[in-house]
Amino acid sequence: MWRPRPERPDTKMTPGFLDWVVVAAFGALVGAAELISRYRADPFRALCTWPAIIYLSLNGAASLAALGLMRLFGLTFGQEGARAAWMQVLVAGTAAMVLIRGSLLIPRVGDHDVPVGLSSLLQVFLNVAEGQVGRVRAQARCKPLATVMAGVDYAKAHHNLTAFCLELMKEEVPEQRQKMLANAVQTLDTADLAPRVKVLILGVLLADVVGIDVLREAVEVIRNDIACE
Amino acid sequence: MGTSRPANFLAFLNEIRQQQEGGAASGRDIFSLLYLLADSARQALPVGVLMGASKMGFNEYSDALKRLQAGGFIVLSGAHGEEEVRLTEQGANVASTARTP
Repeated sequence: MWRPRPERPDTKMTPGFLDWVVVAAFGALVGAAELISRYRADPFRALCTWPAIIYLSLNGAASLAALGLMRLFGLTFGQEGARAAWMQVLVAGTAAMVLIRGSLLIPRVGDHDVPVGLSSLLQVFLNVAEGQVGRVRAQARCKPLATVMAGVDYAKAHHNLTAFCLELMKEEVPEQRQKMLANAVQTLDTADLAPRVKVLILGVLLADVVGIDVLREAVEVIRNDIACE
Repeated sequence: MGTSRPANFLAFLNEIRQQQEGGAASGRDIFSLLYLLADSARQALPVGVLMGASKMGFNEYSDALKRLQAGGFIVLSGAHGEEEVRLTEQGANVASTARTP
């Protein structure tokens, strides 16, 4: 016959392997959230770069270190047993965020405040990740865009193609975005760049607004009107 | 029935052109500001530092900033006197594409 097991009082700490895994994951998750918020357009690619992986590892390591210190000094936050262990995991995860994102001092160098602390180190990795992600995304985007915009004449396409793309997506593109695009196209018109480059940049601008699939369709539909002679 | 969106786009474009006709003449490529920002460590520079690096005159520089901001290539942030020019994602994309060999 089944009988309920009597509840065992928590008499000792349970610093199992799971605690360390969870606290490291907690720290890495916070770092991942930070990266994802920066690269909303392509978060997965952002997380798959080496600087991003190092950044996540640093966050995880800081949480592990915080948990180790709590265990070393016996901080239990008034709890006992498993409760104390999980409380330590929770506090270590959040304390590490404060610790590594804070600055010990902020001296003023010239006209700028320069934070000194682990946050500066994290910022370096964030900046490197940012540059790396930008390069990876630019490389990934350049080839398909070059294919889509091949044979397109900038002088014929800059207004016609833009207007046609917006017509295809008229319900989805708010007026404010259209105004910004108009400003961007006008700036591109006056830029001192080769027409071949201008066509590619026009592709970048339009793909950002309507997506590369709609852009490809639009180019194909009006190709006769915008093609180079 | 609302006005069709492409008409809005072309209307915006005409409006912008008319506004810029009376503005400061830009003898330099204003995209050069994007390259300077893209090459900086944080893709951002203080307004004064960027102006010094651009070698533009005050009017030309402020006109270029206005145009780039309106086009969504840059954003200005920070307290008065400590403004910083930051490259947007679109600005970074355009800068890298413009320098594609």
